[in-house]
Amino acid sequence: MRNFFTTRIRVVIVIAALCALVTMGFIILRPGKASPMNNAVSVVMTPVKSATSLLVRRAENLYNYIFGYELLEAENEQLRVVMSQQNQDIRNSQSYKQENEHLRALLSLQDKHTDFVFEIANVVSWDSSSYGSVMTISKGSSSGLEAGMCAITADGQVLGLITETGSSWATVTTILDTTSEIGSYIFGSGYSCIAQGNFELMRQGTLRASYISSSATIRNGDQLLTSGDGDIYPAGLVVGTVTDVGNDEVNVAKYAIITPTVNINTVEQVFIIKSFDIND
Amino acid sequence: MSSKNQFRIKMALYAVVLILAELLQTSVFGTIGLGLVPSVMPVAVSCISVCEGAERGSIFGLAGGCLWAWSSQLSFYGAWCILLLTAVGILAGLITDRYLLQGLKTALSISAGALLLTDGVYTVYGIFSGIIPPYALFTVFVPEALIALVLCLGLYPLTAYISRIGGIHG
Repeated sequence: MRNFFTTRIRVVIVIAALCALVTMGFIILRPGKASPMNNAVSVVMTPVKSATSLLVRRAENLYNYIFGYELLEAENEQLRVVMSQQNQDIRNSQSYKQENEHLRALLSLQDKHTDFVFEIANVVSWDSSSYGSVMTISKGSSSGLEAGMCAITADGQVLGLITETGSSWATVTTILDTTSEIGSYIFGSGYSCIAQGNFELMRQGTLRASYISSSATIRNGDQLLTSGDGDIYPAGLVVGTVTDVGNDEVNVAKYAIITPTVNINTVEQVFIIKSFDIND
Repeated sequence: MSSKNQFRIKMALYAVVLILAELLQTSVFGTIGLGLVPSVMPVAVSCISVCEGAERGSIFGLAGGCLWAWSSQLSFYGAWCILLLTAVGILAGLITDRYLLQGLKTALSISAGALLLTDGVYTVYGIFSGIIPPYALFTVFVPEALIALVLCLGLYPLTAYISRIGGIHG
């Protein structure tokens, strides 16, 4: 065994230990900022990853076109029926008109939030783990992005927060991640709650709104918006819609299952809010 | 072609294998929405080390670990992987040099061990710290490890082919 550990192997072990120590040092001393090692690897890997992701998406589309055409046709037909039903509901229900106008207003984010300064970026890749929900985007500190900035879709759906930035890339931890917590309220009734990521729900593309008052009346379809508490997320952004409601484990509060308005795992383009006015 | 050039080509091809493993993890399995992201890097390091022995295995283990840890958000798990993949490279080389024959079965066994040390340890840690529910051991870790081992069936012949450039062990 003594002969086995040659000088070269010992040198490699020392270098590995140093690399691990340096990595831990950067995590502890510079949280949220990319290390020079990150930047060096990303300069090479980001364009390759972008190209590979694009190729994989093209291949997936081709596969779906060839093998999933009938399935898509059936889904399309089903969606048409649902859409027709929804259109009928909108025409018949005067009471929903006002709410719809509000939702439409939310969609035109740029008009409504003139204080928002956006940066558009593409999703380059997803984190190599099934235990979290983290994406890498194509812009970084050179475009003015910083850790803590909020990522949304064009429809105003909150996607998550930037947790690390490199020169030409940044990582966004999505609202589905188990570490995610957002101060929110239920639009209409105004009940406040905390929207939290959960391992089980993350895999279904949903999250949980906890600590809702036990006397609250919540209906499926109610919208959950960011409250702006904590000044991390701007107020009034869409977190998702209520798809299930229940009492929590100790029966002192209610919880709701929240489904984002878009499938976060398939988002290809994100909008980063670089600055916004904080309401006191 | 001189033996020095053949050696350089061989090392470059192994580096490409590591990059392929990283791309498979992030851009392929991360994009197709399978819900499972197998760890291909430990398998790639194991295959290279089985073919090249402990010294070169340790270097490629270190390179693979650094690529894995530094190509996405820095984490303590990434730092752990740098050390672990270096150890996998050394141990795979040691086992192949002294106890087992070079071959697909050895590569599969060592890859399975490497996956247990990386994903397995992480999953167990997650279960004990309450981040991951216990059933994830069977619904996430086991299927991911199986997919990674299936990929080993393709990666080992590739690394074995590369190892023949310039003769066995360079």
